[in-house]
Amino acid sequence: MKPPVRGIARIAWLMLTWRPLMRWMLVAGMLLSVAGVLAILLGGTSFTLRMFVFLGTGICLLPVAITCGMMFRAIADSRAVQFAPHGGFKVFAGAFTTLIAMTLAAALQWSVALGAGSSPGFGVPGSRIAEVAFVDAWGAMTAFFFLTYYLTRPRIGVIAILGPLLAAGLFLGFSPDLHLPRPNSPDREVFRLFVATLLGWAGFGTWFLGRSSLWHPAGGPNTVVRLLSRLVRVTGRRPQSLRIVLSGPLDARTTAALSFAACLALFAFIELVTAVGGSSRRHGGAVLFFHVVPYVAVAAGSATGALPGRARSLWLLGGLDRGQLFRLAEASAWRQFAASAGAALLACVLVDEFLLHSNGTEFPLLVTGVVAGVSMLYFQLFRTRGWPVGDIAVSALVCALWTGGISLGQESLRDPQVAPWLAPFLLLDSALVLILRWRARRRWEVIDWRVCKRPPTWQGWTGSS
Amino acid sequence: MSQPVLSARGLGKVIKGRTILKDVCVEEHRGSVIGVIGRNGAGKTTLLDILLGFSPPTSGESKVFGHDSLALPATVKGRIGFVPQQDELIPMITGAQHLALHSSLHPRWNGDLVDRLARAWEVPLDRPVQVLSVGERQKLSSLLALGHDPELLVLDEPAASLDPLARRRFLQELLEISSDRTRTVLFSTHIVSDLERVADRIWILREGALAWSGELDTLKESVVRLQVRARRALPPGLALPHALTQQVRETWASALVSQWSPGEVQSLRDSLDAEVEVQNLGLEDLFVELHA
Amino acid sequence: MESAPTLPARFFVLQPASGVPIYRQLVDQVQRMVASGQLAPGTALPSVREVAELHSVNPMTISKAYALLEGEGVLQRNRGKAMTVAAGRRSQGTLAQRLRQLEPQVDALVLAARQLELDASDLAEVLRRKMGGKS
Repeated sequence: MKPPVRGIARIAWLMLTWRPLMRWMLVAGMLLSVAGVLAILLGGTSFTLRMFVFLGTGICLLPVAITCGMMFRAIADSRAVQFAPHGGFKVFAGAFTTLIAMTLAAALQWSVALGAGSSPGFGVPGSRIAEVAFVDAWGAMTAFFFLTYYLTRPRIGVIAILGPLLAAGLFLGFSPDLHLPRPNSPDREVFRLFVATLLGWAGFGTWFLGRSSLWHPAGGPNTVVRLLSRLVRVTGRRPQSLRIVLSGPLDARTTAALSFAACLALFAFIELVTAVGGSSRRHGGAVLFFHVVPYVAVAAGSATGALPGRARSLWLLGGLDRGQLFRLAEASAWRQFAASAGAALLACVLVDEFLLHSNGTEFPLLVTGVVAGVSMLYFQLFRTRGWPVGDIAVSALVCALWTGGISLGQESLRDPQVAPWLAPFLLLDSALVLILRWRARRRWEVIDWRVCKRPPTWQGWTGSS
Repeated sequence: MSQPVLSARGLGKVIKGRTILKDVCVEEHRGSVIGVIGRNGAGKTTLLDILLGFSPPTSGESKVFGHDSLALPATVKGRIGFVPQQDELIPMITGAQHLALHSSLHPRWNGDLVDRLARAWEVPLDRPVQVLSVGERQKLSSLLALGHDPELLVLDEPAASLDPLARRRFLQELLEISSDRTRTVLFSTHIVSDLERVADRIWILREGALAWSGELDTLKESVVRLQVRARRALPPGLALPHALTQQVRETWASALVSQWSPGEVQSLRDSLDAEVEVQNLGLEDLFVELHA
Repeated sequence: MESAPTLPARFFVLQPASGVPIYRQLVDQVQRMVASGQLAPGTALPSVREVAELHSVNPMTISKAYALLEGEGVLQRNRGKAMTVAAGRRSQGTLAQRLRQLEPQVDALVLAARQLELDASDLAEVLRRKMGGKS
């Protein structure tokens, strides 16, 4: 292979497999979805087989999606890469290749799954399946990339401000509700949004490859987070001392305000996009917007992951024993979760009440979303030993329940075939929450801070040396 | 017979199949300044973490002020000050805010000491932690640990990132603080020259086991290097008494022996029929010899 | 009442990195100074704190040295005041004790002599010459 191609291939490989966990997930996901695809090709048409495929590709895509932007930034920032000939280009091409490869793989499998039979709920016209699948997957990957790139350690630049909004909008436009009927002008909408992703990549690529990278010292401060924290003044009420050590100076009210404002901004953006396209304003808007809640809830739950490591600082300072530390961490996690997810929920409900009037058919989506978020919260409290195999299995379960919950929640009040699954699903998820809490409590009694280290992003988020 | 401040018996730690510590036994009393030396990866940080209760040992037990490390009561924790190797400061807030935070967490707070040290060590208190250099952050962490007048001060590589002048000042301060013999100081370092000035007791960790623990003066006097030059070839299976490391090559042998007393040189000369030169080694040379 | 002159702390040369423990270096230096007459009886020694601060060493090692010297009768403790050199201690200990003190230096000398293939009579001649000049 010619040297540049080798470099690009190596970067692509690194992005896919830089942790053993990711390799596991890639393999597991592939097996699952390929099994589903084969079964469908051999004549199966059931809902379950389709879910296998979506779940499998979800498991494959998720780790890459979550880490690609971060990985990209980390590699691109290193001075070694900047000094290598065409280093910047190789990194960019490597990232792009990774995302395209994953997208094609996903799209292929989704086409098979979508095309199988004509069961209700998958209202995509047969001729457009491949396109819709591809554009959906591509949009999601693009959105994830930009989101993770900008929310780890961004730098100042024009795209810095537009980036998160653009990404979030695309993301919501293409979130995995592939079975959303597109009654009005699917061609134009799909095409238009595909062009938007291309523009995003073109702009980003131009900026990235064109900058004089040697002038930027590796590892700049997190400008977006700093801007945000400057916009938001920490309220005059002094938060409890111990909680600051655990979760930082931002108190619950500020988090809630930020979350609420972000949701409304997002809604405005979506309205702009969908209204311009001419699709059904009422229906499209509500469903798209309600999708914010599952994602915000799971993101809020994931933020708890830093707590077990940070609790180490309180062992000597706080005068608490391990059981009390667990309760303190749990309370702190709930406070932050309630603030962000609660605000998102409130925003949804208010917008629906006054603007959308959707008759509450999407409410189950909110419920499954929040429950998935809570299970993620306790899962993160449960994770005190790195990633032993058992934890990986549990994480797969949590993810599966989350993605399943989105589909279920969305369809359950419309689709009689799906409706009976809702109650057992919620029971299962709630049972998982209780079990996770019980096991987490046990684990915290013997938490070993030599193994459960403080999360490195604590420094990374604010860009210190 | 006062109660030991720190005690460990048969302490062992295994993480993911790797043995980090094996069978560590120590006992230290009030007023000592103890230095822990060892190579990187010898288990110093793990030992400190287990002693303070951050990590449960795989075997054995460890106690602080007579209480089991994993179940330290709040009052005992208030008597301990800990400066970790990687600082646990909150990046967004300033040094002064950190001090305010910590002072609100402890019933006793020596504001005068803290102010004096902040000036003497030139620690900027008005800038957010994220813009401070590594040395300044280390100094701030030390400041936070000293503010509540702890009876046991544990420092993990406290001076690793300080320039020589700052390190000298820091050590002087440590000496000053421990001069009244009511405070116990335990610090781990790989800067051996600092230890020789400051510590009166030493623990040497080699590959997870305690190669030596006791007074520094005794260490220097009782662990010596012997250079043996014999007239005839030495037996290859020669085992010098209490040899920690030894090399034998025909008529020449070199060994690091412990429990040495000056009277032994003559008997060794006679029994081996050889020239025996006794070399007292500085701590750094001792350390290097031990790992030869 | 004569004023007791105080020995400045910097008169001691302490090398923490040496193979000889700090307290031993101090003990040896004080003993040699007293034996050679540099430290007259009644001279006050610098306080433990002063020496420790100047040389940046642990005060405990200094007080250990002083305690040892006091035990051997070289120094005497005066309540509330600095330690002073004890009177009438020019010759401390028996011949055997004093010879034993010199043993490390003698060992080194003998070793060097052997390496240079000098024998006892050569050495004795040199010694007599060097020491003959002094009383």
